[in-house]
Formats: sequence, C-alpha cells, structure tokens
Amino acid sequence: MAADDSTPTRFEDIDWTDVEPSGRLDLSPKALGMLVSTTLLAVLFLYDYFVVPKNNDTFEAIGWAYQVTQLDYFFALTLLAIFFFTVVPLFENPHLTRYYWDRFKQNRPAMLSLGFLLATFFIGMVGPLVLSKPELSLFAKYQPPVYTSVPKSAVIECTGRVSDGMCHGTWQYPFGTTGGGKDILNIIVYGMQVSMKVGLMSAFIVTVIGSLVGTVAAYSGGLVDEFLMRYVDIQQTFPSFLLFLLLTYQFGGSLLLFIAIFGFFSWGNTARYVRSNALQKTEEEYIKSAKATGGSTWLIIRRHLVPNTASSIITDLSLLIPSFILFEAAFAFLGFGADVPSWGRTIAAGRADLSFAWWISTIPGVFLFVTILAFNYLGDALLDALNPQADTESES
Amino acid sequence: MWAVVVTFIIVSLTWALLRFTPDRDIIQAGQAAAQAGQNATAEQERLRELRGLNEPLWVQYGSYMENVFTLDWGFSESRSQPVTEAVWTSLYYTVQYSVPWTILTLFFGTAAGLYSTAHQYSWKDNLMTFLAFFGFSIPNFWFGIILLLVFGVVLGWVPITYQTDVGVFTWANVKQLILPVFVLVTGSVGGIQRVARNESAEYLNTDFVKTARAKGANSQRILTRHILRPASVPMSTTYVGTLLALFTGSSVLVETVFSIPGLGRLLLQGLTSQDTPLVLGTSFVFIFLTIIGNLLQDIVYTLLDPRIDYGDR
Amino acid sequence: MSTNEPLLSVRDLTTTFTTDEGTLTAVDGLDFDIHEGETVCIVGESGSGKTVASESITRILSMPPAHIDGEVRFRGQDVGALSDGALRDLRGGEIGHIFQNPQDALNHCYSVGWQIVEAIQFHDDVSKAEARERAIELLDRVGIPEATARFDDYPHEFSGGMKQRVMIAMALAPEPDLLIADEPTTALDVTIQSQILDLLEDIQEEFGMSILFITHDLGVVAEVADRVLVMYAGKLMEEGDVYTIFKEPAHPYTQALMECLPGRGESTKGIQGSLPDPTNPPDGCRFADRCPHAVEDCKKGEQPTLYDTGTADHRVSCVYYGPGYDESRILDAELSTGGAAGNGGTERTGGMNDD
Repeated sequence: MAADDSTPTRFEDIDWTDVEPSGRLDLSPKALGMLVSTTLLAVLFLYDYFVVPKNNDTFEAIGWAYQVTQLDYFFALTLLAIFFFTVVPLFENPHLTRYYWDRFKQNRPAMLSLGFLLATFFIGMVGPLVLSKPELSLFAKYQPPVYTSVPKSAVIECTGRVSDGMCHGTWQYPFGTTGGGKDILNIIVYGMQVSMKVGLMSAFIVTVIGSLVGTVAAYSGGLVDEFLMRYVDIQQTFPSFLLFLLLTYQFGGSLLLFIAIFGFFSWGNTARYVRSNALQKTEEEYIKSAKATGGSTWLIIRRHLVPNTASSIITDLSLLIPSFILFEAAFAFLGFGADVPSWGRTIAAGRADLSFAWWISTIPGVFLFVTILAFNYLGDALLDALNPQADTESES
Repeated sequence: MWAVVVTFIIVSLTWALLRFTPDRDIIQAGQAAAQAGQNATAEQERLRELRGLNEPLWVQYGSYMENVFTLDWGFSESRSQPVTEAVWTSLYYTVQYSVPWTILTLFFGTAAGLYSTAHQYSWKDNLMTFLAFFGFSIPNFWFGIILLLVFGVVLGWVPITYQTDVGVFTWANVKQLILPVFVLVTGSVGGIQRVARNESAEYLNTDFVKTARAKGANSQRILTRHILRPASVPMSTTYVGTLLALFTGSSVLVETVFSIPGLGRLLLQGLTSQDTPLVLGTSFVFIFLTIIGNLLQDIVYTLLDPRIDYGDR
Repeated sequence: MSTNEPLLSVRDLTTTFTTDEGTLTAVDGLDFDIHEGETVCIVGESGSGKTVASESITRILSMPPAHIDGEVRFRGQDVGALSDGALRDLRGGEIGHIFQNPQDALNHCYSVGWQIVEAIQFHDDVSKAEARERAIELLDRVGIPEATARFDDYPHEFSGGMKQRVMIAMALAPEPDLLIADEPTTALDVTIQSQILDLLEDIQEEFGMSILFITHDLGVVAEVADRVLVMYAGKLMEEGDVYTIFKEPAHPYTQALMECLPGRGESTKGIQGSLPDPTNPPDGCRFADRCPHAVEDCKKGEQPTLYDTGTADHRVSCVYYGPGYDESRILDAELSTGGAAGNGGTERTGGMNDD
C-alpha cells in the first residue's frame, strides 16, 4: 500500500547501514557506546573474577555490599543488547517510532499492558536494591493484607488493630505475610526481577541462537540445512516441559540453569522464521542487487536479513517470554525451583493455608496472571503493528 | 517413517542424557558408604557393576534400546512394582480426564474461533480474544487451587480429595473431574481459538468462499463447510502441536493440584524419590504420546486435504 | 434497444471501502440496464472498479465490509431492500456468477459433483439423487467428457479450462436469468478462451439468459457483447452499442483503449500515466490527467454527465460532447493520431460482425 516515501514505515525499510557501524575505523556513537559498555562489563567481570577474593562483595572497594553473580553479568549483557538493538534504533528513527506508536496507541489493552510491564520491569530492577530480601520472621507470620483481617488465633503477634478476635492488616505489610512471616510485598518485588530475568535472558539466548542457526541453515543449504532443520524438528517434538523437568532433575535447579535450559531448547521457531525469511529474501531484488554490487554475504545478512526478520522474531518472543515465566513459576510450584523468592514458590507455600490465609497464594497468582496476560496482549498488538501487510492484504 | 526415526533418536538422546551425567544414586551410595566408614569407591564400583555400567557403551546402549522397545522398563524402587505396571495404573486415571479435555477443547476452541472469524474486529471478536488470553494466561495450577478453594472448601460442591475407588462413568467421578477438566480446558481452549480464528480468517477472502456466497450459501454454511474444511488442514497441525505441548505440563500440574494419581504425578514421584527407572518409564509414555500425536497429525492431514497423496509424504 | 422493463437496472451504484488510508471509492455513481437475453460488457483496465461493480449487484463482496449505495433492481425488485434469505435466493438462483480464476474459485476440499449438487440444493427442493443426475447432465452439457465418472473428482484433478466449465455448470445449475461472468477467460490459454466463449454463447441461446460480462480484453468484447460499458476509475465513461463503440469510440479513454488493440493505430504504446488515487479522486474528469485533449474545464467540478453523441443509445461522459464544445475536435484528433478508427482491422474485431 501507499507508503510515505520520505520516511521508512516499517522495520523492513530502515536503512540499517545508518544504524550499524560501517567500518572498523569510523565508529558511530552507538557502536562506540556499545563497545565501551560491553568492555566495561567485561573488565568488571574480570576484576571480580581475578582480583576480588572469592566470597567478598564485588564493590567492597567502594563500600557497597553487593555480590555480583554470574547471573547479574549475564543480565547486564542482556539489558545492554536490548538497549542497543531495540531502544537506540527506535530513538534514531523518530519517524518510524512515531508510525509504530500511532498504530500501537489505538490498541488500548496493549497500552495498558505495556505500562504494566514497564512498571514491573523498573520496580523489579530498582526494588530489590531498596527493599531487603524477604526474610523469615516467625512472629510476623500470617499478617493479613491491609484493609483485611484474619482470626486472631492464626497470628502470633498482630501488627495491626485487634477487634472482635480479628487481626487487621496494616501498611507495614500491605500485602500481608506468609506462614513464615515473609513480607509478600517484598516477595512480589523480588519476584518481578526473577520473572523479568527469566523472560528476558532466555529470550536473548533464543534470539542469538535462533538467528545464527536460521541464517547458517539458509545460506549453507544442502546437508547442513537438512541437518539443522531436522534437529529443530526433533527438538520441537520432544515435549518441552518434560525436557525441562528431566534436565532439572539431572542438573539440579538454579536460576541461571533454568534460563539456560529455556534458552537453549526453545529457539526452534526463531530459527525457522529466520531461515524461511532468508530463503525468501535472497530471491528478492534488493538482496540480488546488493550481491551484484559486491556486498559480502555477511554484510547482507547483517544489514538486510536480520532486520527483515525482526518483526517475526519479536512477535515470537513476545509469546515465548510469558511461557518462560510461566514455566519458571510452575517449576517453583512443583518444588524444583531455584532458591530465589519467586511467585510460584509462594503460591505453592500458601496452598495449605488457603482456607484462612487466602492472600498468600492469591496475590502472587494475580501478579503472575496479569504479567502473562500483559505479555500476550502486547505480543498480539506487536503482531498487528509490525505486520501492516496482515490487514492490507485483505483489502485487495 | 520419519516418526520412527524421531522415536529412535529421542529415545537414544534420553539414554545419553541419563548416561553421561553424573548418576546421583551412585554418588549417594558412595556418600552413604563413606559415612558408614566403608570404602566409598568400592561401594560405587559395586553399584556400577550391578547396573552394568562397566560394560562397553554400545552393549549398554543395545540392551537399553532392547528393553525400551520390549517394554521391559525395569523395577520401580519407590513404588515396589514394575515400571510398566505403575504406568498402566496411572494411565487409567490420566485418560479419564484427558479424553474429555481434548474433546471439549477441540470443540469449544474451534467453535469460538469460527465465531470470532464470523464477527471479525467487532466487540464479539474482542471478547473472544480476551477470553482466549485469559485462558492461556491464567496459571493452571493457581487457577486450580483457587477453584478448589471456592467450590470444594467454601461451597462444598465438589470433593476436595480425589477418590480412586469410584467407577469411571459414575456421577461421583464426574463431580471430581469437573474442575480439573475445566481448568485444563480454559488453559488450552484459548490457543485453539486463536489458531482457528487466524487460520479460518485466511480463507474468508478466498475466491471459493466468494463462489459459495454467489451460490447463495448462508454465512453459517460458509463457515462450517467452505471455510472450516480447508482451514482444518493447517489447523490440525497447530492443534496437535498446541495440545501436545500443553499435555505434559498440564497433566503434571493439574494432577498435583487435584491429587489425581495419574502419569504426571507418577513422573513427579519418580523425580522426587530419584527413582530413575520410573522417571524414564513415564517419560517414554509422554514421548510416545507426542510421536503418535505427530503421526496422527500427518494422517489427518492427508485425509483432510484431497490434494495430498499418501505417496507424497 | 427494447423498450420494456429491463431485467436488471442499476442506478447511482456507489461502493466504498473504509481503509487505513481513508475512504476508497471503487465504484462511483454507476448507471446501467441489462435487458432480457442481452450481453452487456463492462470494459476497463484493472482497478477501474468493474469487478467491484459486478459484485455489488448481489452484494457478494468479501471483507473488509463494503458500503454499497444506490439502487439495484432485478425484475423491478429492489435488491437492497431484500431480506438476507431473499438475497441468498437471488444469488445463484436468479443471478449466477463465474469468476476470473477457476484455480481458486472451486473449493479444493470437495469434489466438483458435491459443489454442483450444493448449488442445486440451495435453490431447488430436490433429492440428492435427482440433484446428482442433474449435475451430471450439466457437466455433460458444458463439455466435461465422461461426466458421470468425473463427478466425484476433486478440482485439482481438472485443468483450468475444465474447471471453468465446472464453474459454468455450477452457475447454470439453478437456471439463473442473469449470469455475471467476471473475466472468465483471462486466466486461460487462448485456445481454451475461445472454447469457453463459444460455450457461453451456446448456453445463453439455450437458456435464454442475459450475461453481464466483465473484461479488459477488447477482443473478447467484440466477440460476445451486444452493448458495452466503458469504466474508468469507478466512473462510467461511455456506453453504447458494440458496433458504435468500435466504430466511433467517442471518449478519449475509449479511443486510447482502441489504440492499444493490435493492428489498430501505429503504436502499441499503451496509455501513459496511471489510475488516480481511489481514496482521493481528482476534480473533474477522472481521465483528465492522462487525456491528450484535456482542457481547463476537464479538471473542474464533477465528472461530466453522460451526453448523447447523436448515435442511438450512445452516451459519453466528456465535456466535448456537452454544450459549448465541438466533439469533432477530438474525433479529428483521434483520426489524425490513431488512423482509421472505424475500419476495424483485426481478425478479432472482424468477429463481431458475425453476431
């Protein structure tokens, strides 16, 4: 359909030569930023690994008691990747961003979802730095959420007002506490971080491996292609829940391992998308002309192929991420979870007390539900916004 | 043919996974022996000998494969019964809720999808979309717990615990299965609805639908005959995939929540009591079900689309 | 033409679609009649709105929802006022449709027999066996060899031409009074094309139907049409008897079309430029931008009304035929650039004389 000539109106139309560094010597600010930030991260990692004694806090030197884990490094890398490959390109292409935004804005549930997810992301990032880790405190067990009450017999010490044998909730524990006296608000906030880590980091791995395998398969063709795609077939035949369960059984469950398992065994669809897109695009004129003018295969892949497949990948990811979060919660619920304050674990923990302390399972459940719902709505809206063909096709 | 190859490869991979990762039993036996003041390495060695782990790899692999396909799946320590027997018993309970689950999901999912297609982009479609998203966003296990609390504990309409001694076709059984089936259907019907909607919407603008309209067909007939039939070809593929993907996870979680002694719980029991033969046995059942599902999908495909010959595949 | 009431009468037919880019007007105020037993051709390049116009008659346009305005009367009955059920009876029952692409027009999941039987049973209360018998007769009639054996075959087992024959059989099944044929031969090989055209002509005679024939191929027009409507950008440009249109094309657009015919004129250069944006049509005559004779007045106001040219039943929407202009100016111009407009040089156009 008629597209405005002056501004690219799709991801597909961006001239990624502007976005990518064009050579080794003249680095764009973005490439420089990327280089500097990853180097800093690497230096910090090496410093932590070689200089700082094993069980000491990473930032002891500046008096900040924070032990940076492998998971944190990886998460930082993921966030950098998201920043440089999603946020920066959008910022550099204001017209395009505007166009997407206008399309996206019309979808109200998706706007709400985006708001909720951004809030979850930022609270999940900042919250744990401010709030203390949820701790056992038996005297504070079964405190009801604010504005609700529980029979006095259920609690040991009621932090709030007691009337008619009922203990009332207070703002000290707005969401109440668990049977172990953990503050549910803290659990929710920490759980946000866990969920975001699981979702985003697994998605990062999926994107990297999926794009790699997809392009390699498409460009090698022949046996390599056949082998890789057959492998994808098999991987996708294997029931993923069972696979995750067996792997956790064999290797035990840490959050990093969960993320690795989800990431390493879920890239099948992404690879398929990239491959079919690659095969299709190589037939198209601009790739042919890029080849004719002597562009190297690698350059073509980087400048045309990966961005061209971006919308399929993003849509696929927006459905994968909630499933990762759900898987993590389910595993935690079953008792295979990592030792982190997660929503799933709290749901499982509160199960036995549901008859009188309804909030323990319910509140994290609601958060889990809304997060996943928001991702689904967002994914649906992205599908609509990124694929204008989908609705123009039906007009012809 | 491909299905046979896949089965073979997956079963082999499962073997490799368990064979080349440290065996917890042996490590534990070693630790136990060390605590008891015995020689840990000797004890571990004895156990390896006993399990045939000292034989050449291909011999181990050969006997493993033979056992798998002759249904000699070993003895479950935690259940004190042969694994196949345990699997059979629990399959009985799993089938009782999976069959109605599958049927209801396919029926309601397709119906809702076609309804959405018929009312594309109207509030009815949006409502269906919301219900679909609601369904697959709500965590199965949590939803089950809440429903059990409301209808079992508070209202007392359904039993809280699962009774194994009631007949399959009794009212009591219906009552205790109604919630698990409901939870499972809510979880899967949305996925089916989306697929049905998207696939059938693709056919809404085809020439043959226009032909049907020009012939004087009403919209209901167009949907159920002229759109559903061709759409069912791609739909069947995604249906099988969606249901199979949900099957393992859902059965484990829902059986846990509703304390149904089915396959999912058996798998879980195997995992928690580190009963490797049991874990393997139940995994095989899930794997075989998946492969049979995929095979079935290929057959359905050829049945639904007259353009595909059996010979083509 | 005959003075009695037309079989189909279309007045001010306007079909619009709502799109992201705005309101798209595909057909804009179309007027025409079809009489009993007559073959009317709508000619125009792709995108001129001829297909939309034909599908607006029985309202079979698919998504996105089209907005259809104006009046369509079939045997004096207002089609727009019909109930859903009555409209469905009209579709197929009294107005049959065949489409451009026989490859996709048949449902690949059902046997051709099934699809014809379905069409029969929508409109006639007959048993399955009777419907089957009639379907086989029809298949035989439209020239499917071994019709009985092929009844249960699926569309993919037929060639393109055979599929189009099946489509014709299906459209004929409930014995309609009007057959709308939307480019029925475009997707077919040339040899098959003429077979299908012959078949349509035979059938028209046998069943006494009227045909509304949509095409962009003037050769086909010459072969089948009694009367011709020339459409451009949703507007009717010219209408008239097939002889008149070929002998004395009055509108510059029609003249340009004629020039594109092989053997006519010196060049096969085609018409310069492209169709105007249907969401934002220009003022005045839609063709003005591409018209070699355009003057100031052409780009003002509305599309000119249909002026009589002086020849019977020949009307044209061009300012040169209106008051204050001398139409000979463009006719002369046509003669000077295009050569003998009236002498009809090709074999195909020769074919029209057989009518």
